[in-house]
Amino acid sequence: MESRVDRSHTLAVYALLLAAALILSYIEALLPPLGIFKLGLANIAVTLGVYIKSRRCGFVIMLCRVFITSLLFGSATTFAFSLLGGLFAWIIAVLLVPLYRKEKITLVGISVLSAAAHNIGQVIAACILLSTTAPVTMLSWLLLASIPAGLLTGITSQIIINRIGDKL
Amino acid sequence: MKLKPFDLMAVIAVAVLAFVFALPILMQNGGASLEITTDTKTYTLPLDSERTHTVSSNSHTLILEIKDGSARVISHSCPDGVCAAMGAISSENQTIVCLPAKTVIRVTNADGEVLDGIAG
Repeated sequence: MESRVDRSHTLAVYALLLAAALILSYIEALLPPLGIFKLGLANIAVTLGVYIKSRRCGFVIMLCRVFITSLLFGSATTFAFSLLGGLFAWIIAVLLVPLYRKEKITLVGISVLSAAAHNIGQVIAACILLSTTAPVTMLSWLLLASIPAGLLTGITSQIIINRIGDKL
Repeated sequence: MKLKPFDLMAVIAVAVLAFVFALPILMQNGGASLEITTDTKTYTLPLDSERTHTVSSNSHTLILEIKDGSARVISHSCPDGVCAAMGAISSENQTIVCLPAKTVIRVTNADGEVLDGIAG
């Protein structure tokens, strides 16, 4: 049983990461559009949730972020779209936890794979919503773009976890 | 920050996957026509003529520019503009997808100007 102090601490970390995720989503919405490509800055908060706190923390941050950003900036379509992308990215982050613990991979590689998984999830969502496999033709560009995007979010996440990971 | 071996493998894996998904497009020749699927119907248009075409679907409007065997969206009523950002398409099976308008525009090698009226 968690003590009340631990529970307050957990609540504070969840709230901190969710706030960071929303601010990052907002900053990304302010940036000039890059066409169909996105940096996925909010994925930093989800990855940190999984690696600083727990798998469940990352999941909660992802779900709340998708829900709140769809309400604030998006629509019903963007909700389904982000949800599948976010879910795929979270699954990859979770699957790679053992490899990270063995020090075989850093958050850089994990973020690149998460970004790729996010794009695959979104393309699958688009296929389901439009009931056609046509969106698959966009996948190669999206996957290529997920390398620089993943490197950026991954390096940022790794720097953050190195500096303040053990203080949270 | 020190990178680990699997970081490099992650980047290579994603690059290889991107290449694999690019193969079907790279191996295609230029297409002859456009297959346009809206929320209510599917029809085709020839790609060789120079024209603009208006697509109305799911209470949104897209204006297509068809020129030199390629097509692109030059105007859209949706807020995202993802369709216009996807640029011009010319090779067989390349697509422009617009989620708000529930529209898929695909290059095919079928003959143009046929309305087969498939209800979506």
